[in-house]
Amino acid sequence: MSFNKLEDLEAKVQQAITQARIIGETRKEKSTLAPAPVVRDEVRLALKTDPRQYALEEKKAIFEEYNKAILAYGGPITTSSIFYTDKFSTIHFANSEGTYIVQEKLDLSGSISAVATRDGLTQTGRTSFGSSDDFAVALGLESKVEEACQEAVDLLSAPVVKGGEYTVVVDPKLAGIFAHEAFGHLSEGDNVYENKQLQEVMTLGTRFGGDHLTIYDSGLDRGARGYLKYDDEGVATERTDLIRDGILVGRLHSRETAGKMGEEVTGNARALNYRFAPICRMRNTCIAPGEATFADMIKDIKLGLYVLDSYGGQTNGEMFTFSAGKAYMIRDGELAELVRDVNLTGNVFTTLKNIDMIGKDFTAFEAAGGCGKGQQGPLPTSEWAPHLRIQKVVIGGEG
Amino acid sequence: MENIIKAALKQCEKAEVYYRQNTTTPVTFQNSKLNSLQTKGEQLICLRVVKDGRVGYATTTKADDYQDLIDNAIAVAQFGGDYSFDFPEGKADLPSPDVFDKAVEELKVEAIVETGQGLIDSINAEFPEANGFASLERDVSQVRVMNSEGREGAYSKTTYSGYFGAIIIEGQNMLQVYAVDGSTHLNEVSFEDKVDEVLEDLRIGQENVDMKQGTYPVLLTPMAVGDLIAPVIACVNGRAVEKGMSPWADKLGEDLFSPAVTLVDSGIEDLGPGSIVIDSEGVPGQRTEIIKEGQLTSFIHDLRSAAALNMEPTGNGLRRGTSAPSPTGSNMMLLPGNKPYAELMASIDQGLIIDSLMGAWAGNPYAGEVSGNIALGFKVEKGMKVGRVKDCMFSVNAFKALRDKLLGLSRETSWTEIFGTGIAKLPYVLLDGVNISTKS
Repeated sequence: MSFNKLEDLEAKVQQAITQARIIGETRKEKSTLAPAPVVRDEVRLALKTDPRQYALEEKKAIFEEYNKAILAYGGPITTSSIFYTDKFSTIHFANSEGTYIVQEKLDLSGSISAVATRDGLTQTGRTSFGSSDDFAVALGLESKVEEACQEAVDLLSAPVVKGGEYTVVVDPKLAGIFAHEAFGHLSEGDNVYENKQLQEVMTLGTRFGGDHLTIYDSGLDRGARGYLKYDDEGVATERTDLIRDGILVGRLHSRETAGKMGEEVTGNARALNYRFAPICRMRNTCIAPGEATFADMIKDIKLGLYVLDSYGGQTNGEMFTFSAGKAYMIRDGELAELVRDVNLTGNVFTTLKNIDMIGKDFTAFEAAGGCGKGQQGPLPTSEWAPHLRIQKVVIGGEG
Repeated sequence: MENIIKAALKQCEKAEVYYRQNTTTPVTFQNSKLNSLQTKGEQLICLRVVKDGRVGYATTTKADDYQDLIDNAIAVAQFGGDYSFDFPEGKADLPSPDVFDKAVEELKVEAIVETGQGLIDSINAEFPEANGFASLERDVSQVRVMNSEGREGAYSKTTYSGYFGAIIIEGQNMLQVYAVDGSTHLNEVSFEDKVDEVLEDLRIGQENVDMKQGTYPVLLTPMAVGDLIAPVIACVNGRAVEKGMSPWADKLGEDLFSPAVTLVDSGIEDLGPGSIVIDSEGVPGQRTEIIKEGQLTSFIHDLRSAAALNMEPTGNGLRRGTSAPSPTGSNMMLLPGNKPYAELMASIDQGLIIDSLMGAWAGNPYAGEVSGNIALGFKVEKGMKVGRVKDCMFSVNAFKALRDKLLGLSRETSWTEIFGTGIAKLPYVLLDGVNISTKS
């Protein structure tokens, strides 16, 4: 039950009870909440650079400079798109067990796009940023803005990629989104807790990848958009390992899903805002670094792709798909020409096993946007990862 | 609302207030069981002001305390865009699409629960191992728009909409099938009529078949047609045209597509879930022919984009959530063809029918590239579905496909919601020579 007319409180409480009764009559078994410590805490913001120190006018001036730089770039650059947002919230959480938490949060993010058009073709170059404690990430982006302009221009002359199966090296941005889409969602307790077949697939102890593969989700990384001291059920967050050394070792729980499965709470129950019930969500989903260098990864690829950044991805449990920001062909162990409109797809389970090299360059990358699930989006999340090499990835396009 | 405008005018030249109140009751089922019942009530007030020739915008959820709202709108006006358009003036004749149904307003949550459970039970009767899911939602909303220039309008709307289906998991093979329906009127919605389609796809989908990489004729269901048409809708958006992102700024009057393609945006459809009596800026809802028999005839506009391009507003200045108005489709309708879809499918000797694509929204719409994983698709041989196709990528250029590769549109249409784009009424579409990439 959610509402924002406080005078309706009495009636809404009654309605909530009625709804609970209907659920109780329809469902046979009781919901069991896993135990969580009773907490009384106040979490105040600890900011590096507080965006509130900058007047609206100053913020506008900062982004106007980037905008001018894009429009002055010339050539086929026709327009720009810049978006910046910061949001401060104070969240009060109380439950009848005695937990009372007041938590202040900041979420800021933005993206800067340069759009190039020529002969009816439009291409975009982009840079993006995000943080939960530092406005400085929005400053000093001049060289990134210039790269975005160059990227849009270069993409105009890039050929469309040929469809087929490739060995693919993905950059840390795309690797992180892969971890989020391909494995994070599958690890959410509410997908698993009442689904026997999926529980069999996701039995703890099952091997999902090579010994070099470790994927975890953490609420502890200060500054990340996915940083969170307590989740929206008042449970302290933690680092939750999902795959450790290739073996499934954990999942992301709310109190209800943990209770039902007899597992420990992990602090992953999050709600977009008061209008929504908390459900199992990710925080900062990471692939732990390995030992390979970028040069190691590409040196023996005869024909492959180096894929960077992503405009978005989606999964349905067993399959995933992403659109790349940009990609280069790899020919005879070297980076070759830029190609456009690169979309990757694959089967989650085989692709995890097909990751054959993991870079040592673990990168903390933060971007605008967020995660969507069950109409609750975008929720601030982060994805940190190193470069990965994956065998046998299907790329869309003409053959 | 009058009071807000009156109070605002003490500090600014012009003002516009948009008020929306809605009550949504979503009922969800997961793993064949009732999962949650909720009621969400929300009111929203959006104020746009013109101060010293600049536009300021603010929103609040508090109806009585509007001084903050006015102060916020005035404060941001100094950084706002130029007042480069005119708020519509005086009274207007408003359309009166039939979009309110007392039966939806009075629909009991118990009845929604019963419908959902019934749908899931009928799936589990044949497939006991299937994990049924459903999300059914009733929404009742009131909208009022008023400005300082004497324009005002209001309407109430009901919608009953949702989806249901099931997932069957066998080892690491997962089959997910679902169907959608929705209308403003209770009698128009029949989830039960879609149970047979879901059951048929669950039957055929259990068997995975191989598909070789190549080009094939592909029949897209209305849900998948949404992905095909989304780039077209993005390119006729007045804002994209104004900013030079759409490639079609100078293409009005040109034949861009096959003569079979007629795309209409209509805010005044009876029973249309996206219908509006008046848009968020006080422009009456209207019917706009965007593409007529293949020829580009209009863009869709809000006040700002219409003024920038020296064109007429089209009643598409709509708000998403708390955002300021921007050109947004109301009911986007790709008009149907004359063949039953069964006939289109029967014409396929060796090809596919695609029910849903995944991730196709994530490409570059202004280049028309649509590329998505085939989340649910079937191989078709001699007009019959023979099994499920997996781990494949569907790729077309939507602009070229709708010009050169269009073999037919079905007589049947369905309401669907295109991810990130809005509500649409679409037929099945048969395309020739579509690229399907797959593992070798």
